[in-house]
Amino acid sequence: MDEHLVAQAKRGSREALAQLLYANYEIVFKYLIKFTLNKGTAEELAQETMVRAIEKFHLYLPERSKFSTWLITIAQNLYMDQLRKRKREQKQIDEEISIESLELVFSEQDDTWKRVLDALARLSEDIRLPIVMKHYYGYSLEEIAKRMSIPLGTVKSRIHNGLKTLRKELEEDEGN
Amino acid sequence: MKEIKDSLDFLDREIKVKVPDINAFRAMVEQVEEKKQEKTRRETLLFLASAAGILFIEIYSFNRSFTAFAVVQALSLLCLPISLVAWRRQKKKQVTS
Repeated sequence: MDEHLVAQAKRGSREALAQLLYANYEIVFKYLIKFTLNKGTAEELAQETMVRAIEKFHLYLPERSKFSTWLITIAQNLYMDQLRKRKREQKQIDEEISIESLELVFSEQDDTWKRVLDALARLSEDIRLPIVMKHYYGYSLEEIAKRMSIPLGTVKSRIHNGLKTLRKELEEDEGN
Repeated sequence: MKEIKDSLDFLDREIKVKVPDINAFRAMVEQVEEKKQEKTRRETLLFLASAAGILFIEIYSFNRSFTAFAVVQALSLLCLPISLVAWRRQKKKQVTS
């Protein structure tokens, strides 16, 4: 269905483009929420992704990638830009990320997942990002280094230290 | 590692996504497309104004002295490859970003 809408949108149909974005919003949001673990940030970035996609739609090549893949690339670039900007401006995020904001309903069996999400949320973004990219999305270390514009060694040490912190926190939680 | 994947899979399944209404997307597309068209109109106007300006300079310099006219022509010839290189770099940046 997407291919049909893409073809129409490429011919100039604004309605087709609107339908495409509407159909793919959830995919983009769910992608972003896994990195940000914050509903508000994910919603803002998803919105920006939609606007950027409309601005750059003339550059989208359907033969190169699926529309959803292209949107996710935009979303990822916007998130990376936001992280870099925050670092440049040395802005600290004052509010702690809490998974309470995700409004998830956990049953007793889901306790492990709650603890893992809590522990992930407590990691800083530049450590959480490569961990999620590697261990959830399966990106290679080289791809992560390229996308984050950091050396390969830095990616390795962030992932190593991040996993070490996660294991320690989960062990402490189990002990309590 | 499995716990990370499982917990994010759980998040993916259980998170409630507030998808904006289709009309919000229609409005967004209209707004952005209008802005794009306005930008194109301004660029076209600027191009026409530049072309008219250059033509005026050429005619004026031709009337004043042939040497001045020749200098203007030589400068235009120099600008052409520089503009082409700048345009190609800009296009490459757009496609790879």
